[in-house]
Amino acid sequence: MNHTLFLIAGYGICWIGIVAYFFHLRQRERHANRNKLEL
Amino acid sequence: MNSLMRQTKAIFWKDIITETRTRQGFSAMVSFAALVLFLFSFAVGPDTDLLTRLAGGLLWVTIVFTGTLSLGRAYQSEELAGGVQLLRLYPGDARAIYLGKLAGNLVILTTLELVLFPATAIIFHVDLLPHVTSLITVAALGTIGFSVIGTFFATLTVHLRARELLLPLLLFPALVPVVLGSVGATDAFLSGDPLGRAAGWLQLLIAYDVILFVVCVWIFPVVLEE
Amino acid sequence: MKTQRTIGFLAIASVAVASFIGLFVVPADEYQGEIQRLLYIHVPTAWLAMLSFLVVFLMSLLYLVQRKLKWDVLAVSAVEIGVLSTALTLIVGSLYARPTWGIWWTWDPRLTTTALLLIIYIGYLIVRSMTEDPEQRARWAAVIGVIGFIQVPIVYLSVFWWRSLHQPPSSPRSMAAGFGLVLLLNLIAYTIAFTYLVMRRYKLGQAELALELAGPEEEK
Repeated sequence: MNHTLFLIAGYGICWIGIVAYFFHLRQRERHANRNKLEL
Repeated sequence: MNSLMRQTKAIFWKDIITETRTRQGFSAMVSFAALVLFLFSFAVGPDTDLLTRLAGGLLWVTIVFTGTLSLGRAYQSEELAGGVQLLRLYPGDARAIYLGKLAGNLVILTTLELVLFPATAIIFHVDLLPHVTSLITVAALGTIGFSVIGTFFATLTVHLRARELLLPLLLFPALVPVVLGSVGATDAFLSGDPLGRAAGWLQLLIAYDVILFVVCVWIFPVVLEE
Repeated sequence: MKTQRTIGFLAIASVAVASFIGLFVVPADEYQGEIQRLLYIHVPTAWLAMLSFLVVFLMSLLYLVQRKLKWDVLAVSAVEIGVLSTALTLIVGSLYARPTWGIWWTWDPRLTTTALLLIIYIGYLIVRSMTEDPEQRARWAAVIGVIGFIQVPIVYLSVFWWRSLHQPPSSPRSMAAGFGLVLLLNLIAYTIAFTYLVMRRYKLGQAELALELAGPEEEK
């Protein structure tokens, strides 16, 4: 069992998950700002 | 306190009378449950030892599935009368609705189990007679646990679309202790409880029933708030 | 806003430092090998999952008592990040278990409770998404938040009892030297990251709520 592979996969998925959620937030913020300007 | 009991009884009797007037709903439910039991026994296969060992677990899964369907119909009379919004207009104590519906669900499930337990005995080759009183205890505690949290979530989801999916989604995680306890105690009793484990499971069920009942009764009015 | 940015940069920096130490500085466990380094993120995500649901519980109670929508916004922020943490805990835990014990999954009390927690809080988010009125949504979410949290210890105890009948609980193994300290560093780092994400999500939630309350006709 290739430990390094699993290790990289674990850290990778964790960080990708956090970063992905962060960018998801950014996208929603942009959407909300656009709507706010139109009010 | 007195008026709460009166209101509860009123709601309970209304539902029971509606239910007994058209017995199709109940017969459909019993047939469904029996079919599920059959399916399980087909899936397990002809090995009688295996069937006997799995009897407790499969029985309770059947009860959970059928019970969930039954909960979905708990507010049918309100819906037919003009919409679930009517619940909010109820002038009395909201908790009476919860207690009344809870009582109704308990009766329906108990009647269902009166059929299911013997059916399980036959299909899964288990002898229930030596353990009748113990099994009644398990059935009572498990059914109470199911109904307490089931009635609660049934009321919450009745206002939502896709409630046939949401009710199981919310309900099943909450039922894990009930299923573990009921199956654990049932299996223990059916095997003669050589290691005295049943008591622990019954205690878990009692604790669950009490805690969830108190919380649900306390928090129920919030669910119906306008 | 300034505070949020500072915390954000602090989060990135501390995660970078803690991860570097965990991956390259500290020695690997002599029994488990390199894979043990996964614990430096697995334990923090598990801790954050628990923390976030504790926050949800408290915020739900606060909302039910005070009926101020800000508590509801804070609650859903914690749930979203809690769901993320729980999912990551399960995934990383699986990746850790496979090389160590040869299995992807087992029905041990902590794993089972964590998996159920994920389902409970996904249910929370789904119910929210189906409710339009903000007050109604907050009310039902708070109810699920309270009951969901109460379920956690009961489920854990029942699964623990169930499993203890089938196998003895695994005894803790001795870990690599310096493990405790590095773990603590990672815990702090990810908690800072958690705080930042919750703050940002909360701000977003307030903005979205303001738009909602201003009137649906104005929204695109």
